Amino acid sequence: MTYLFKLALKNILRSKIRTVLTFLILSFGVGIYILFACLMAGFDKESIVNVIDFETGHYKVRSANFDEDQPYDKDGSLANAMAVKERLRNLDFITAMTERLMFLAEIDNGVDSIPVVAIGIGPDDNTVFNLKKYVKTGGLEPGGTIIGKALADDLGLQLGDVTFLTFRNQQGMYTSVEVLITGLIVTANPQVNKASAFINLDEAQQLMNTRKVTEIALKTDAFFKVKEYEPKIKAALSDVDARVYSWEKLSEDFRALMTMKRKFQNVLVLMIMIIAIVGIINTMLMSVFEKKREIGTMKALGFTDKEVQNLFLVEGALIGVAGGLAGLVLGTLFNAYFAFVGFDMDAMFGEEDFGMPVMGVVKSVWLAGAYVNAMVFTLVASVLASYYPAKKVTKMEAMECLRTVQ
Amino acid sequence: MLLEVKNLSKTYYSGKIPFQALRAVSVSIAKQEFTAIAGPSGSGKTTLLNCLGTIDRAESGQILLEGMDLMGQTKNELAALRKENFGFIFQTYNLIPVLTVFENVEMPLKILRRFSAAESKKRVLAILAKVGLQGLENRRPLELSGGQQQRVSIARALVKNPKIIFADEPTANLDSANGEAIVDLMRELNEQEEATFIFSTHDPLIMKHAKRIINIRDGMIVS
Amino acid sequence: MRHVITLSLLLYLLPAHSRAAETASDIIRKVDGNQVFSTETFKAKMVIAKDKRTLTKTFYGYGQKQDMKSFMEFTNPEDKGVKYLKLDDELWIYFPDADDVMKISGHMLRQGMMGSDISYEDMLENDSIEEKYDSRLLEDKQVDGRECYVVELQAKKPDVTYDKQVIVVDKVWYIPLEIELYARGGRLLKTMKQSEVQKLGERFVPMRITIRDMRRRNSQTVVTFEEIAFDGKVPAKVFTKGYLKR
Ligand SMILES: Nc1ncnc2c1ncn2[C@@H]1O[C@H](COP(=O)(O)OP(=O)(O)OP(=O)(O)O)[C@@H](O)[C@H]1O
Ligand SMILES: [Mg+2]
Repeated sequence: MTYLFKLALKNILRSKIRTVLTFLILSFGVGIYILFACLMAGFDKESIVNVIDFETGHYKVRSANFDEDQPYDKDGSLANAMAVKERLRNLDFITAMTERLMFLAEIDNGVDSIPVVAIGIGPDDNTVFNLKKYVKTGGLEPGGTIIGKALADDLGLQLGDVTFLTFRNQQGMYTSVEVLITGLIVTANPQVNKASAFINLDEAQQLMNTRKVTEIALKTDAFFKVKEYEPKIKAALSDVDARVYSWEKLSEDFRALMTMKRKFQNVLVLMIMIIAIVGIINTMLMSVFEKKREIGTMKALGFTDKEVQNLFLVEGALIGVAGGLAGLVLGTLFNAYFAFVGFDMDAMFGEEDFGMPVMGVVKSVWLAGAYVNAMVFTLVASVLASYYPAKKVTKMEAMECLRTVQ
Repeated sequence: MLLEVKNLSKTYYSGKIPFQALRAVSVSIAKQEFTAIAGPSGSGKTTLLNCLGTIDRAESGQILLEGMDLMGQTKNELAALRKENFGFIFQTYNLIPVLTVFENVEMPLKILRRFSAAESKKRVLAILAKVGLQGLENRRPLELSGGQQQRVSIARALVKNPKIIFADEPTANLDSANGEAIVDLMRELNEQEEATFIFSTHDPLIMKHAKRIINIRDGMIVS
Repeated sequence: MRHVITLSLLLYLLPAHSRAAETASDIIRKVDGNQVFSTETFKAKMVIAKDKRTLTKTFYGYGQKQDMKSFMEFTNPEDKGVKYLKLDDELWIYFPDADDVMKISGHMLRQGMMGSDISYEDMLENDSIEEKYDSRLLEDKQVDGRECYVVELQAKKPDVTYDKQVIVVDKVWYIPLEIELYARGGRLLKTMKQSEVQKLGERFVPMRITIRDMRRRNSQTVVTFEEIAFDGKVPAKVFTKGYLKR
């Protein structure tokens, strides 16, 4: 076996361009796969951070009347925010709370009118959310609003321009208010960029003619401890009209979408790998036919069919392992760039978001699983890919092989 | 008797059309013979050699190697048998191009797995010296002339001291001077190494080097 | 006539206008009285102008005043078979392509009906003017050469759709020729103009209504009635959801 191994190695090391090419394709495929997997994991991490930082906080407390299918349509506001906060104050893992009032409105410039979600945020909003991270220019000032940059572009508005928010207040009366655009926001969520307007909570309440809020958002000392904290929060609020939503629950749809996209991406990766495998099969088949006379000679010299077959299997496996290893190195090099420098979404796609839940510079992560997958997959795949060509060798008669003219 | 062939017949089929290439051939080969199988093109020389060398199967008759019948053996048994007992020299040399001269000659020893690295190296170098290829051990086959390649191939066939060496037209690809040099070499080794050679040729110049000539015509031995 | 008692009470309490002529409430009451009918049947055309594009849609429909029911079906090729059914404060739409009846609710209510400047919300408007608004007579004005009263309605409480309405009423026909709808905060949101008034029996009927959403400067919607008849017989079955899917 060691001799077969050495022979196979020599075959590869002294081989033709075709083998080199297969090796390159394979290593490139593996490299791309690793980069892809790590980058995607980076995207995932970043997008979860985004969702928590911007949209969900760690938990939200809403009224039991809140309609999740048609949020903000009907009055689903929290009537007893004070009571809720009072009870939550006793839970020491909750590090911050803030109230938000959301309602549906239309924003217009006198020419066009676009539906938005208006979000009233308190001065302590930054204790739970990280709006600042997404505000491109300006900030929230009294009588002002922060709107999505995309929304502003759609309406031809700029920082410092005046716009109108029109909505029906708590009692149903049309209310229209002139607001100054004091900030522009860019998030990874196009929905937010195109359809949201942040205003001050006290102003929002005054305009809506209500003292209520839509939700209380919470921050805890460890966002991942949902299983531990959620029941405690629920228990604390069992006697008030409140429903508790964890970030996991709030981002369910979004994460489901992410998983779906992932499946699609996996198909792409699979295609790369299939191409690589077809490459191996092709190389090995060509090699078998090309080496027909050699095969005949070896059989004449006393190699058994099995030995010759193994020689080709080992050769395929070696190409696989070598290609795989080179791919790991290549993938590591590729990924190193994105892990340290990062992937600039804006530079890459500009304003186009492709529904990616991230923006700005996304840094790739190191995903050990991707390395294991890549290695196992290439090894198994290349042995399997060599199996058929090698099997063909067995069927060939020594005499027939020797007779071929080349 | 080293090798006894009795009533060996071989039929080829091209599609459904049968062609009888060997018709009840009987022949005996003694140890250390240097036998040429002679005959015109298409007479069945290659077929006979292949059947004797067990790289092709005859459909009837007997091939006895030192009394043991080879006809009923399995593929694997035959492979083991060739490994131990037979050497081959081909018209087209059939060296492994990715291996060096040394590695090519070493191959039969390697698969025998009987020799230590040192011993096999000694043997390879010795046989290479005998065929006159000292200093070329690290060349690749394609870096050699046809005559040199055939010498490598002879060395490869001889290195394990097989009982019989089959050589199908070993000189056909060489010019006459080189061809004669090769048969001379074979003859020399036949003497020195006590090796048994059966080779085919249709070249009268080569034939005259043989100790014994078996004439074959239309798949039948003629004397 | 809705809430006659409330109205008369209201009239009683209203400060008498200096001109000793009609009070704002009288005018509103007369306007309202002018719209008394039990059923209506109509055929109309709606032209939606947006920027430089115009869309023309045709439809027919029935209305039943008392239960605030109405039914409409579009007949222009693009929207053929689209039907609306209004039952009190619910609005249903039927799309023939999807063969599905859907209730319009939530944020959809804010959208314009078939892309027009008439929102679904407007279609559902059932506010009673006498009950919910204080009325006041402003200075008279002429519209298309006709003498008109100008009545300003100010919401009493913030639980009506519009904080303020200004209604310009023809002095002879008692038909509003212009209506301006204001949001809380004083902004003019919508205007409605009624013109091409015709006499149908005893009744004066505007055949053309122009609606503009002031937040969308470059758009307007004009509804022109091609046929209209009152108090005829309307099959009760058209006001059922089952009829939508027929
Ligand atoms: N695979 C095959 N199928 C059909 N016929 C074959 C096959 N191999 C050889 N033959 C036929 O068998 C006969 C003997 O062939 P063989 O190759 O043994 O002749 P040869 O004496 O070696 O000729 P040459 O001197 O040209 O090498 C020829 O007539 C040839 O056409
Ligand atoms: Mg021949």
